[in-house]
Order: sequence, then C-alpha cells, then structure tokens
Amino acid sequence: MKGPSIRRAAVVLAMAASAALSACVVQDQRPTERVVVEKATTEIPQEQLLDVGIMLFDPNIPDDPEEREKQRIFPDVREAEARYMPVVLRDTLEGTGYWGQVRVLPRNVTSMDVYIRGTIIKSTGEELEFDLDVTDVTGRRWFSKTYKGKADTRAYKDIPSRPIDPFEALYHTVANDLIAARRELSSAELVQIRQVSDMRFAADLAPYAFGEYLQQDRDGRYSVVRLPADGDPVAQSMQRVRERDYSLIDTLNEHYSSFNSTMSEPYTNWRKYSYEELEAESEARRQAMTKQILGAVAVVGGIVAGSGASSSAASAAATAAVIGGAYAFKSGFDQRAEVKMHSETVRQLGESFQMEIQPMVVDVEGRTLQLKGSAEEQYAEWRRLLKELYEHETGLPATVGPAT
Amino acid sequence: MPGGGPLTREDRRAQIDARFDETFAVFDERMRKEQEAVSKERASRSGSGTGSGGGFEDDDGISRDGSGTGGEASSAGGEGGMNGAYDGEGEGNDRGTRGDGQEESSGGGGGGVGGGGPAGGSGPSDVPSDIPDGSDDDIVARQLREAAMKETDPELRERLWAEYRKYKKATQ
Repeated sequence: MKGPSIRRAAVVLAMAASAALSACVVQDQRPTERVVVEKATTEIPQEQLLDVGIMLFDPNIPDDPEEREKQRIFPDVREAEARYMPVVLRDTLEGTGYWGQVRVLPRNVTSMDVYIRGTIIKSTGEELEFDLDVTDVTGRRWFSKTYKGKADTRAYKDIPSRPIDPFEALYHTVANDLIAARRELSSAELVQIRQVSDMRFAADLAPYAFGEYLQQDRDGRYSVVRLPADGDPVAQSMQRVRERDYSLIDTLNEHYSSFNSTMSEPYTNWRKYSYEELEAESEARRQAMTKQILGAVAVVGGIVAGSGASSSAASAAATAAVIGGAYAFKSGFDQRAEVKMHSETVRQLGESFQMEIQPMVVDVEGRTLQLKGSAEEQYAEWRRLLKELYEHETGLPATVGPAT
Repeated sequence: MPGGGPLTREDRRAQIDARFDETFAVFDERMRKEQEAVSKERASRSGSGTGSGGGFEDDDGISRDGSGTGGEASSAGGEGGMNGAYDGEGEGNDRGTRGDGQEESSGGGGGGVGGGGPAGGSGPSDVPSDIPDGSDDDIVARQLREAAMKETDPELRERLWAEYRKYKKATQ
C-alpha cells in the first residue's frame, strides 16, 4: 500500500503549497489609511484646558540577551525611541488645540492634569506597537489601550527635509482617543481636575499649608475640599514656584525636542532601510517555503506517476518531474541563504544605528539629569522659604495635620 | 533693611520675599542660559544645509510641504515660550507657556551623521566606476559602502554595491 500513502503525502504537500502560495498574495495596505486628527473648532475656556504630561516611555527591554536578539531589540535604539515617541505624541496633541500645555516628562515628575504612560511593545521599520495608560491627577483612569500599526510607506519614499513619521496614523488615533475621553467629562469635572493638580502640587511642596485643601476617597481619588483665599501670600508664592516648575519642564522639553530633531533623520533612514530588509526577508522566506513545498510535491508526484507509468514517454515525464522537483527544492534551500542575508543585514543595520544613537541618548539623559539635579537644590530652598513664610503669616508651626 | 532693633512684621515679610526673588532670579537665569544653549545648538545643526522633499498631500489638515531651509527660524518658538513662562509671575491662571519649538527644520544637510568616510585598506579599484565618492553618505550608505569594500566574495560584494546604489537612489 505504498501508492496511496505517497498520494496522501502528495495531497498534503499540495495543500501546504497552496496555503503558501495564497500567503504570497496577501498584502497589507500600504500606504496605510490616513487617520485625520480632530482639531478644536472653538476656543476652549482657559479653566478647562488640561495640561498633559507624557512620561518617557518604558523601553521594555528584556534582560535576557537571547530574548533581545530574538525580538530584534537593540537596547540603545529602544532607549532612544522611549524618548522620541513621547515627543512625536506631544507634537501631535499640541496640534489639536484641545489641550493646554503638553509636555514630555522624565519619570517621577508630577503636577500636570493628565498623564500618559506608554510602554513600547514592538518597534521596527515595519510595525509599531505600544501600550498607553491615561489617567488624570485626581486618580481617574481615562483608558488603557494597545496601539498597533503598520508603517505608511509614503514616509519612506521621499525622505523629506522634515521627516514624517511612518506611524503617524497611530499617533493621530491616540490624539482622537484622548479627545473622545476628554469629551466624556463635564465642564465641572475638567475644572476640578485643574484645581486638584494645583492643590496636589502645592500640598507636595507645603503639606502643612495645603494638605487640608485636598481629600482622598477610599478609591484613592483626590478632590478639592476648598481653595486658598484670594491674596493668600503663601498661595501666591506657591504660584510663583509653580511657574518655575513649568519653566524647568519647558527647558527639559527643549532638550527632548533637540534630541528628536537630531535623531529624526538617521532614525527615519534606519527605519526605512530596515523596513526594506524585513520585507525582503519575509518575501524570500515565503518564496523559499513555496519552492521547497512545490519541489517536494513535484518529486512525490513524479514518483507516483513513475510507479504507474505504462509507456516510456510517461516514465520520462515522471523522471523529469522528479528532477525538476529536486531542483526547485534545492532552489528553495538557496533562497534560505538569501533570508539569512537579509536577517544579517537587519542585524547589522540595527547595531550600526545603535552605535550612532547611543551617544545622543547619553547626552540628553546627562543634560536632563543635571538640570533636574540643580533644580532640586532650588526646590529645597523654596520649600524652606515657603515654610518660613507660612509660619510668619499664621504664627503656627509648619506641621502636617490639623494644628491645635 | 533697617539696622538695629527687632524686625517688624513687614520687614520680616519683605525679607522672605526678597529671598524668594533672589532664588527665582538665579533659577530663571539658569533656565535662560540652558534655553539659549539648546537654541544655539539646534541653530548650528540646522544651519548647515537645506533640504526639500515631496512630503504628503495635506488631507489631514496638517500642513506638510516637505521642504525646509536649514537655519531658518530654528528653535525660535522655544525661546519665546520660555520668556513667557518667566514673565508670567503673579498671573493666577498662568500655568506657564512652553514654546512649541517645533518649527525647526531638521535640515537636509544637518544631522551630524557625516564623518568617517570610506574605511581604509581598500583601493579605489574595488569601487565600481558608477559609485559616487560617498562624501554625502549617511550612516546607512556608509555602512553599505564599507561592507562592500571589505567583502572578498565577488558575488556578495556586487550585491552589496547593488544595495548601495538602490539606497542612494532612494535617498537622493
């Protein structure tokens, strides 16, 4: 019963070949569909304009080198992207007109109204995926969502002087989601968010003076109980300190902007070229698989045909099918070598870009840390002065909790 | 401050305010200098070249003409924004203003990518005649050129040169 089992094998292989061939004709839509970002058509009242803080993204780099290699993660490139992507998102949000100030924040900075925390899941020239968690300063969660998209190849075609992000549609989707989430809040809630951020900032610096203005419910949500009186000297000084806090964050953002503009061109080139290599690798892999499967089908088919051939012509045709199949099979193996070459090119491109970007990351990180470090000294001084002012104005000791 | 005698309540308050002013002035000056340094760096980077490209059609409402001139208006937005933040004292609603600083041109010729040049050790005879001198190579092109020049397998070398040509054509 050798014949039927060979035929069954031939049928299975033919089905696999058919599947492989159909995979070849599946194409992603590139350029990707454009997502139009919504823009404010009327001016939003000042007291409802929320400031947005976008934390530097979590680069999500596996500790295991093998895992990094498997996922094709280049740590320094990821670190750079963790700074680059928030700036792209910031610029997108700023363009909508729905928000107050939008700033990129180093980790562990507070005092904004809305916070966006992102984690990079996957980033190649082909595909970008990140998780976002959006909350506001009261502790309300707006949404958590995974964003995933394919590169828009138009961004790779002309390499314009001002590079356009190939994943622009993804950022536009985030911007629209944020606007939709904001729309679900009432005017009173928007105003309250701003009040809470003012008070949380004040309470952080001078808890003895402002701690009582806030309350936290069982779910950890903050609300404002009351506001400082007009002309309160401690509140006025606090406002001046807060302006410096914004100024510090502004300066940090100038560094991040500068980092992005330096990184943008080589980064776009890297993404473009690695995109091409990844596509070529994928195509070569598909072709290799198809050739090998078709080759195997021809060999098996030739053997089956040969075993039942009654004439010398049929026998010759069967032999030709076997030889042709074997050739196609070998050709598939050769194509595997091409897959390897593209994989190697992707690796080399990544390592090369990593070497280029690494000093830039170190530079921007060093500068921002230095800036934060020197600002911390000033903050310590302002804390001290606020305390002194409070004690002078109230005649009470600056202690946390109700004074007796 | 008046000399001798205990400080009055007003004197003490004025003293604290003066110290606040002092520290604010130091801080503002520090931020101003930092801003200035970043602006200068960005201007020097974008000032060295011009760039232009096709860009996208403007169907999402965001202007993208895909062209820019190095050095033009670089980081001016950032500076203006910062000044706004410094000057905003005493305004109850002023939460500071950050200049968007996004009008900088990333400048086709900038980027600090250059340098290096072809790796040593290979004579010009290894470079096909249609290959340009590589003076305007970016990082990717440079890597390809170096890999091709170092490659001893003629077939692979030709494929690398082919990749180089393709890349250069795409980025022209």
